[in-house]
Amino acid sequence: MEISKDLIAASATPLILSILAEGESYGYAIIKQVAALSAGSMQWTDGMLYPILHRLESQGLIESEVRTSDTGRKRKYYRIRQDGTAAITAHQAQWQTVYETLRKVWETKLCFD
Amino acid sequence: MFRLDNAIENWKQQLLQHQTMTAADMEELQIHLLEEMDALTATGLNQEEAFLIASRRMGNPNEISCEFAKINHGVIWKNRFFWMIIGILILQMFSSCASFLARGGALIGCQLIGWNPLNAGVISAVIQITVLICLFIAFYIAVVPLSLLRKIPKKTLIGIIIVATALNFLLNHAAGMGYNILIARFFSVEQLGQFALGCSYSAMGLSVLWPVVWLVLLLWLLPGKKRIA
Repeated sequence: MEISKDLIAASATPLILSILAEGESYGYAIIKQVAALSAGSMQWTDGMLYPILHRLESQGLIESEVRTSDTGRKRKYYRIRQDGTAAITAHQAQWQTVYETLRKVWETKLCFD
Repeated sequence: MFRLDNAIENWKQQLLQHQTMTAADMEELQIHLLEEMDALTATGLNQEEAFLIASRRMGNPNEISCEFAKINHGVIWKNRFFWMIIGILILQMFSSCASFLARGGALIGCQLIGWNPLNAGVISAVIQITVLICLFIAFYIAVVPLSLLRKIPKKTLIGIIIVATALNFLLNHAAGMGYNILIARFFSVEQLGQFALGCSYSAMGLSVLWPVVWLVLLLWLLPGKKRIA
């Protein structure tokens, strides 16, 4: 099942923050992790990840550091900051509410069937 | 024959076309592309195939630069100022070229058809306008369609502009002195007075004309007529 573009865009921020909450990571690895977590159903356009990361960084939710990887390539590693962790809680509450609301509607609808 | 360097260079140019990304942004994306390509070649694809798939996965260059535009306001303005200043310096060079030729032309003209302020003024104004318009048209034909200025690395461009501005400054003053020496030596005080008066007339006329020309251009460039791609 393919997830719609809007939903992917809406879930990008909480998803990135939550992945970084597990430990620091870099762009390419984040993309791979999202694909693995969603079993390939959330296919991001790779280039679109970076503007989001940079926005989160300018909002102070994450921070970055350029280091050289084992392969000799420079990589920009992103790490979550305290404000980022707080933002995850807020996102969780919002998604929970959305999910609960949908579930209620769908359950009542099932009763009518 | 597929050449990876060329392919990557073209891909970068497409992304940088709208000038919304910093060098660091570009580097980060390029490293991502190379990592993706490494993973793909490890599965047995050749370089060309790996590049095609990896660049496709990166997404549409226009959309990506659009997204970067939303977060890089500073970069975009810095870029605009850069080109504005380049424009101002080029305009200065063009106008001192034009005024140099106009003074010379007016001198020769007065010598040929008679010394009076009107002759000096009209000749100098006509030459200035013609030369400036010709220079702009030449610039537009030679530089704009090829986007020549953009192809030159910015540092080289700044170097060229600095040298040209310095030369322009020196030559302009040298030419000014040369004219004064010439006039003082070979022409009478009365002729000098008439020539100076004529030049002031034309300067006054042009100082009204140019702002009007720029305002008309500004109106022509007003958005709404044509959608900016």
